[in-house]
Amino acid sequence: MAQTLTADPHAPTAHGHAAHPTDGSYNYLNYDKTFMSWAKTVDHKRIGLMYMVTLAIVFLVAGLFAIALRTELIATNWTNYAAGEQDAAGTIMNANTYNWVFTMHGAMMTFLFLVPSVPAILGNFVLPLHLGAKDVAFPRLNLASYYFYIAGAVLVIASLFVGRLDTGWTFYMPYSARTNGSVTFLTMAIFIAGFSSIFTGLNFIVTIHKMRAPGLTWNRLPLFVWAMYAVSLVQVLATPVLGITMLLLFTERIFGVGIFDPALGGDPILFQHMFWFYSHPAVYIMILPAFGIISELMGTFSRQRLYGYRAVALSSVAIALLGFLVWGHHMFVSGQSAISSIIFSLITYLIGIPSGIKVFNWVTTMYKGSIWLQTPMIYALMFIFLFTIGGLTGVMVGVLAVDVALHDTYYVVAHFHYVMMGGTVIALIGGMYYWFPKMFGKMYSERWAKIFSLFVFVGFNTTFFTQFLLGAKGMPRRYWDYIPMYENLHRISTIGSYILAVGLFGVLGTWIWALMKGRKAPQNPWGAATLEWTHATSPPDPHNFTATPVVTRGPYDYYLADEVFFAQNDRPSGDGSEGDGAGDGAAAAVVARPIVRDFKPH
Amino acid sequence: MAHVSSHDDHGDGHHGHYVAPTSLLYKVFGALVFFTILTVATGTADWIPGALHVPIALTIALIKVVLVAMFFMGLKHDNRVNTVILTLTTFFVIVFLGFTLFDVTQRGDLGNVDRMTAADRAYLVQQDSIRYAQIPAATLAADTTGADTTMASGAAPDSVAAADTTTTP
Amino acid sequence: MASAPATLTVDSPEVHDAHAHDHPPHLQHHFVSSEQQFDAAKMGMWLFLATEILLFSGMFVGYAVFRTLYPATYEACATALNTMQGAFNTLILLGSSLTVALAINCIQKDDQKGLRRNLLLTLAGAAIFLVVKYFEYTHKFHGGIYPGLAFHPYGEEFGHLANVPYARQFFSLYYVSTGIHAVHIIAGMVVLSWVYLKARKGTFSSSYYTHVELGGLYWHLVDVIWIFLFPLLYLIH
Repeated sequence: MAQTLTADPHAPTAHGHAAHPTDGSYNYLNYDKTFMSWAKTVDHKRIGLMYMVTLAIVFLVAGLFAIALRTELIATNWTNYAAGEQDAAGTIMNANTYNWVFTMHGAMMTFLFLVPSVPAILGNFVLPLHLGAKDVAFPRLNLASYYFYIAGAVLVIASLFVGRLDTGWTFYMPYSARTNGSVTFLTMAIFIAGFSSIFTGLNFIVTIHKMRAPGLTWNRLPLFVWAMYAVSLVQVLATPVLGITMLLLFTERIFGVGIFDPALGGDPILFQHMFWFYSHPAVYIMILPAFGIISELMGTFSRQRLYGYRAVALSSVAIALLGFLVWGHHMFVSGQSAISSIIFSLITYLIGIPSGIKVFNWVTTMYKGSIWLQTPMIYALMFIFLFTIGGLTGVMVGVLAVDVALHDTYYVVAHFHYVMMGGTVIALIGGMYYWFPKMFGKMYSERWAKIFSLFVFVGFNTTFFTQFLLGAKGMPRRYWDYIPMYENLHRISTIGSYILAVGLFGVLGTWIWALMKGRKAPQNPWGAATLEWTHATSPPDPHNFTATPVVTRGPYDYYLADEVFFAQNDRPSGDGSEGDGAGDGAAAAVVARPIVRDFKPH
Repeated sequence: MAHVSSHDDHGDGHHGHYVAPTSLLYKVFGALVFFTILTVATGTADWIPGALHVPIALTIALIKVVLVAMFFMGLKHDNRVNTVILTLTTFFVIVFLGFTLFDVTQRGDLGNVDRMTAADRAYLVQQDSIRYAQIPAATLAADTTGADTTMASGAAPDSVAAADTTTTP
Repeated sequence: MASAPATLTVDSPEVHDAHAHDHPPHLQHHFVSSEQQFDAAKMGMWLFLATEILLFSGMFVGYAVFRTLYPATYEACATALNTMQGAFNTLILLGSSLTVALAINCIQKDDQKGLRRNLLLTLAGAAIFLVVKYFEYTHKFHGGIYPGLAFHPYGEEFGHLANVPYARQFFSLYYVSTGIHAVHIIAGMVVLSWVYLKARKGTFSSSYYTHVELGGLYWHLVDVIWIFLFPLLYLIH
């Protein structure tokens, strides 16, 4: 019971037009190479790539800011603590500059990188392929999304030159009304970039509802699609509140409206309520797509159906919806009423449950599976380890009494870096390695990818695990300087950040090398069973599929996926992509073949 | 839902879209006008107790919105999904409003908690008594405000806390 | 059971577009039917309306918080707002909602003239709303009631407001709420004007009127927001 392809009456073949090859040599990358064809493209795959390049640049800039601030913190500036002598020039920057650097690092990473990351890059590229669709529901809106993002990003970069924003990425009142920094610029930038997020989410929801291939019921959707659905719900419902918050902040600064500024009679905690009503669901925007990637990776590289498909699918939606009820746990010490804090804390415990469900299901997926430790799987396993630490420490700071001590310390910094970086970024890298052959038709170097993954893992843990210790010992966050007792841990953390930087540059290097010199990728190097691997070439045709697929099995039903086991990767000799040397695909006898995976040790 | 492509709905007439009778639209408009007049009337009426004005106004507004949504926007005969979108949105608006208002009304509920530790309080009492001992006897006799004695007499935490916000480090 | 034969011929995208098809010109190529396209467009519009509702919700939350904290201020300040103008505007907007619903009704019955007439009536209603708003705002400006720090009421009609604490917040919220609402009215007018121009060219028919439907949905939302704003701002007692 394989999936079949029906002749599509809408396909131009019905009209007898000129042919183009469908073996991948004519694909979405090379059918038109002019600049305008990229600038005006409505092809979701090209838009995904454009996001990828832009977001990589943003990540680079924000990451360099992070290296700068870790370098500043490598040594304490107290030249004589007992006598109260402090070097105001700092290690490499003074205190005001430091405030600006961590603010820009935070704002760029959260708003400009993490929120779009997986949905804009991998969601755009993979979602229509997973659904058997030709494109998303509103392709022109998709392109508009990208340009809104560019506008927002340009404004943020411009703000680097206009003023020095030093409020922290949370823009708390009343300081954000008083500071001379470029708050006005950034509020406008974030307001505009918010539209990018909203339109992407809107597009995905309609696409998933309306453009599934025949036979693709909700229960047969890949879990990546369920994750995109959940994250799109959050994007559509939460981002407008950020929009109005930024608008009100803007009017507060320009007109002195007095809603938030206590000197004018306003309520600063109201700002925090409005800010966190978006920003807490925002962190679920960042992590839910990562969950989707991990579900795909765990299934493919254990060669098994995802254990507990329905639980994992529904837990994504549960996290999306529950995430709207807990924003007050960022405000425990803000002056919020005690009874509200208690209620928010209790609901926060609940959110750990669906996340835990997922982790248990992923681990169980490996049980009795055929584990193939390729780079994407390494990153998936890394994710489970790092996210578990991050998630559990999140519940810890969700405990009201504990948070009173740990709020605004390095403990919180370590927690969110474990979930955001150890979670989302690691999953994104794993997903990029996984879908790299599909996107570019090239294979990366397994050996170097694995080497740099080690750098990433060691560097990450060195940097951020020490920060748990720092925070528990009382080191406050966003401080330019610290007393000498913290110096050793800070030094270790900074060295870790250098190792992490080497690892991340190395990852980028493996991709660039693969683009230039990687060997040609077969259609389905991983032996995966979802539509983009079984029915689309590497790289895909501009219209994705030669004909609309008709789905007759689930996305992980390997035992039903004949086309994965037969004929897929067998090609005429010459491109060297054969699996285990099993000759041509015309081996008619139903021989129990070993798993057809493209495995060539480098 | 996507279905296997067919040609039967190309160049079709109404695609099965619901066409509302025009009289229904006018009737709904009439109802909306009526409810608007009702809103103004109840909103300016003196005989309705003040606390009820907002709930009544919001209820009537809700009825008007339901009418607009169901009939003018066509939700009644539309895909169920669109109604779910509206309902979910409304739910989260209520969550946002509800939790925030709840917090605002319950602010300052830490009044029964002493904001100082016992050690801090003891230190301040000691400092106070040192200062008290240094004041000349003549000034003390003339001084009737009694402000300096609030600390040593162990008055209620709130007033002490209010008095010593300037001294707490 | 066979996977895609490697040599199935498929047209290149640019050649594809140049050929006539046996389906309507408005049908975009990634959709399989007009029905699917229309339903998708409507669903997309409803999602966009959801985002607009949440955008305004922030202002309602601000309003609610300040009214809870300072109820006396709200009662004192509401006297400065003209209930009759607000009620008149409400009726005008409800009327424009009716006319835009009638416009959709007309095109569903292939009544092109009715479509155009009703679209123009809707635009007229919107314009009247803005004119009334203009008078409301300028009247307040003459009394020194500006948003934010520029708030300095004087004169016999508004002078007493200078002694009302937190009056600045009330009026700032009033200006921000009605101001952003007015921006949406203008945006709606732009959209409906564009729809009207397309209607004049005969783009729409009973089998294709998506733009009218979507423009109408947006307009109804603008009306819905005002239905809530009116009693909350003008009828505080």
